[in-house]
Order: sequence, then structure tokens, then C-alpha cells
Amino acid sequence: MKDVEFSTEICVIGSGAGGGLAAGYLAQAGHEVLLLEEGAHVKAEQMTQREEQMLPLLYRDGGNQFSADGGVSVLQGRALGGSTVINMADVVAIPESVLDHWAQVYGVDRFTPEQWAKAAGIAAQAIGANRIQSHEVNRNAQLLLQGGRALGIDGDVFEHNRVGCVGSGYCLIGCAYNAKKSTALTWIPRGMATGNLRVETGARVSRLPHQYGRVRAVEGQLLDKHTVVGRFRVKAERIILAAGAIHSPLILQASLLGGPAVGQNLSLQPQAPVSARFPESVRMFRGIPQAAYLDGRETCTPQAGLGGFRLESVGATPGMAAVNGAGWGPELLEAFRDYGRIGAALCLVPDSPTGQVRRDGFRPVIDYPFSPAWLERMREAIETCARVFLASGAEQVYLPLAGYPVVQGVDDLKALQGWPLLPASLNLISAHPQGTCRMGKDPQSSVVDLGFGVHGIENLQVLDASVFPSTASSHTMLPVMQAALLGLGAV
Amino acid sequence: MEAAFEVLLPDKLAAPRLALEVDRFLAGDDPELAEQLPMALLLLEHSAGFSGFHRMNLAARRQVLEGWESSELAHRRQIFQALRRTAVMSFFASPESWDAIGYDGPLVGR
Repeated sequence: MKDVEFSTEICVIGSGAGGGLAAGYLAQAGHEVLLLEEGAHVKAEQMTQREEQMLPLLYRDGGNQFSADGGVSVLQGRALGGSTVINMADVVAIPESVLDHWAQVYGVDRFTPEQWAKAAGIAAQAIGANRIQSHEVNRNAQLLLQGGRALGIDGDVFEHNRVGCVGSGYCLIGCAYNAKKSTALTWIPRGMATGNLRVETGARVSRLPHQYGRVRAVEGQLLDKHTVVGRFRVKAERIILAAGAIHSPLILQASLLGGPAVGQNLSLQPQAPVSARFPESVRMFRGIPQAAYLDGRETCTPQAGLGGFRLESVGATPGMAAVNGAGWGPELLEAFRDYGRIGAALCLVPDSPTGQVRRDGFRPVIDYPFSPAWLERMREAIETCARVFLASGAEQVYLPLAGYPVVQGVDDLKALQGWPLLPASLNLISAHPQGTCRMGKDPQSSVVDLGFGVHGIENLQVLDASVFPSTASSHTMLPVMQAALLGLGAV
Repeated sequence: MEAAFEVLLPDKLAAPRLALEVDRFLAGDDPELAEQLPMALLLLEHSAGFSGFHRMNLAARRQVLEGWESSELAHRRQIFQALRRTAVMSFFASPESWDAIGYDGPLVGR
């Protein structure tokens, strides 16, 4: 067993959109920074484009992290760069109505919409954000837009942070071409180039000992993959916690920090996959896997924040596509015999912050009950998605509901109205967990203050998606970067 | 696991090979996580009466799994989905399956 001591000015925990940015930004500003990441540094040449090899290397629990009742698959990166290594590279800022909502309902009013917009601009530039070009929109995305047009549902193509994309289609299991500009390719190397940033991978933080309102150290375990090979202790003047909305509250809970609200108010923003077979070649597994969306049914108001639903094209490699369908047995092979003709989309339905994260040793327990109102919106989203695919020429549509018959026309959607939507029967994915270290003024109902500092602790900030009082946006990479820049005083 | 895989997999002939691969994968992965699947299999084995799930014929095993898929008991649905996911992921991630579905595989290393 190794026993290692580090000493630094600033210790950053987690290297994703929040932590990677913070470490790089602070190092460039002349501070001495130590960045701790639980996962490994997986380089482009190690990205084999093989699911069974990359999922264990890049994902939390190898992609097998679920809510406690098995209802939602919670996908998170566990590698240098965090979820920015395995995400769909969609760049979507926090809408102004959400900022108004946070100010009106949660008292989160320290920063102006202009400051949030300026932060979005800085972050977008740093990660090479640009609009997907029309020749980069694959057939799967075109079919979604086409179906949307037929039904009068507005849509568009995404902004993304790929530069020099070759269109291989493997974004979800790591870019082998260094085209997706994760924090591991942007903020972190820029910080390291200054000589001020040191990175330790395989370092899992377990607790933050504190006394008299100051965190005294960062303690944790050194890992070789999943095996504990040693312990470490970091002495730092300032600590930035950015382990994501599932693990940041866990670390605070283990340290008896954060007050009664820590771990509460979890949003998972679950998404349901709908796939369809077309009479033409689609090859959803090639090209940019998520190039287009339909947001004509999304709502956003200062009173309620983000609501309604949106549909987004999605491509997936065979294993992930099969897992996220509902089929099994010989029937599944029958459906997949024409894998090249299958297209897919995700129904993204913004939720209310009703879940929670609890500790079981080092493991999180994610409690996430569905609200009846949310389920009805999900039902509507699934039906709309099926109608969109049928309108764009699909022969068969596969709903994410265990046992639901193959849909061959709109009449087959009637049974959806009474169909039970139950955990582990309705297939759901979460890529945007948020809210478990909520920002606010009252230490009883929030964890961090309006400057992102943990209430009552002078040298600990949280800079990740856990601070959002409600769902920030339909995609969380840019919102987290906006928040991190504001928390660092960059704007 | 092989008994469940024979029913869940698109091609039952792949069951022995993939069940072995999953076993090997679990042994090398996070030990806490690795406990969960064997536990699920144990529950499945003993829920099916005196003789055990693995001794039932294919049609009977399919019937049991269909029952778990749409069960009113949440833990049965959860176990079914865990097994289904493991089975179909191992099957379709495997290059042996790609010809049949027209997937031309990774681009790196070509």
C-alpha cells in the first residue's frame, strides 16, 4: 500500500466540464493546481471503437450505473475529461427563461443574464464550438427533421464541439481522432502547458476533513483500475469539488458537509429511445450520431423553467442500440438483420428535481421516483416520436416499452394510452444528472451559496451540474462550463 | 447464466461462449458490481420451483422470462432487464454477430 502526500494551492476534484475547466483556467491564471481524477487518462490511440473494451474504460460502472429501482440507466464518464469524453458534443447554453426561473423561484440572482451569456461565449470558444454543417447531417438526423416538417414540429441542427470530425460515429465510446474537444484536449492541456497544473488519475476522493469552517485536506484512495493500491492526502488552501451530480454529494455526505439538502433535488432528465426501420439505407452508426433535434414541443418559461419535450436523433453502435431497444431473443436478431436501415431518436423530457442520492459505502444509491405528470409528458413524447418516424417513411417503429408490439401504423399507437409506464419496463437513459448540491441562499434548502461556496465553509466551492436549482438546459456541458466560469470569477 | 442466455440471446448457439465471456469480464471488473449479476441469477434459478430454472426446457424458460419482463414485482423486472442488457450487449458487441446484421465494424486499424 502506497501512502502519498501532496501539497498544492488549489485542489480540483473531478476533470469533466466543471473540474477540467477550473483546473485549466486557474493554472493559466498563475495558480498552482492539483487535479484529481478517479478514472484513467485514455488517449485517442487507445480508443478501439469496440464497445466491450471502451465502456469499462470510459464509463462509471462500465455503463451499468442505474437508479435504485433499475428505472434509469445513468451514464457518466469516468476518465480524464469526465463526461466530455463520452458525450454527444452538443453545445447548448442555459436559456434565459431558465435563468429568470432560478431568480424568481430559487433566489439565484447574483449573476445577470449578460454575465451568463458572456461565460457561454468564453466556454464555447475554448472548446471549438461550431454549427454542424449540412453535409455532416447523417440520414438518421435528416429523417427526424423530415418527419418533423411533415407534422409541423420545428427543428434544427446542433452546435457541437467537434473540430476535424471524420464522421466515424463512435462519439459515445471515445473519439479516436481527437476531434471531440473534451476538457482532456482543451482546458487541461492548456493548464499543463503553463507548468502550474499537475494531474493525478486513478485518485478517488473519499472525504474532506474540516475544522472551524475550513476544509483541511482532501483524502482518498489510489486505484489501479478498480483495485485500491494506496491512500493519498492533499493539503490545499482551496478546494474545488466537481465530481458530478452523483458523486459530489456523496463526498460531501461522507465528510458531514453540505447540510440537510445535500443529495436532495436530483434531476435526471431521463430520455427514452425510440427506433424505427426504414425502407432505405440509414446507417445511423456512421456520421455525427446526434446532429439534429425537434424542439417545437419544448417549453421554457420563467414560471416553470424547462418543460414539454424534445426529440433528438441518435445513432448507436450495435450493442448499445440493442440494449436501448426493448427486444430480446430471436426476434431481436430479426429486427437487427437490417441494422443499416434502422434509425433512432431520443425523447428528452425535462423533469422536476424530485430524486435523491444516498451513500452506501463508496457507492451512490440513486432514488428516482417518476412523477405522474412527467410520465404523461413522456408518453406524449414517445407517441410523437413514433408519428414523426412514420411520417418520414418508417415501416416499423419500436417503442422503449417491454412487450409493446411492433408499430406499423398510427393505429398501433392506440394501445400506448393505457400502457403501464413502470420502472425497468419503460427504457430510460440519463446523461444529464443535476441538482444535488443545489445553489441558494438558505443553508437548510440549498448546499452552495450564490458564489458556489458550500454554506459555512470558506475554502470549498462546487463547480458542476449538482449546483443547478432545476434542470439547466437540454444539454449540460456548456451550462456547467458557464457556471464554472462564473464561480471562478472569470466574468 | 447460460440457461438464461440461451433464451435471451438472438442466437442460442452463442450462449456458452458469451456466458463465459461475461463471467470473465465480471471477474476482472469492480468487485462490488460483480456480485450483483450472480445474485440475480440465483434468484431466477430458485424462483422457478423445485427443479431450478436451468433444468427447464427452452420454451418453459422463455415463459418464465416473459413473466419476469412484465411482472408486477419491480425486482423481477429489474433482474430481467439486467440479464437482457448483459445478454444483448455481449452478443452485438461481438464481431461474430456483425456479418448477420450488416455492421462493418470499427474504422480504426483498417
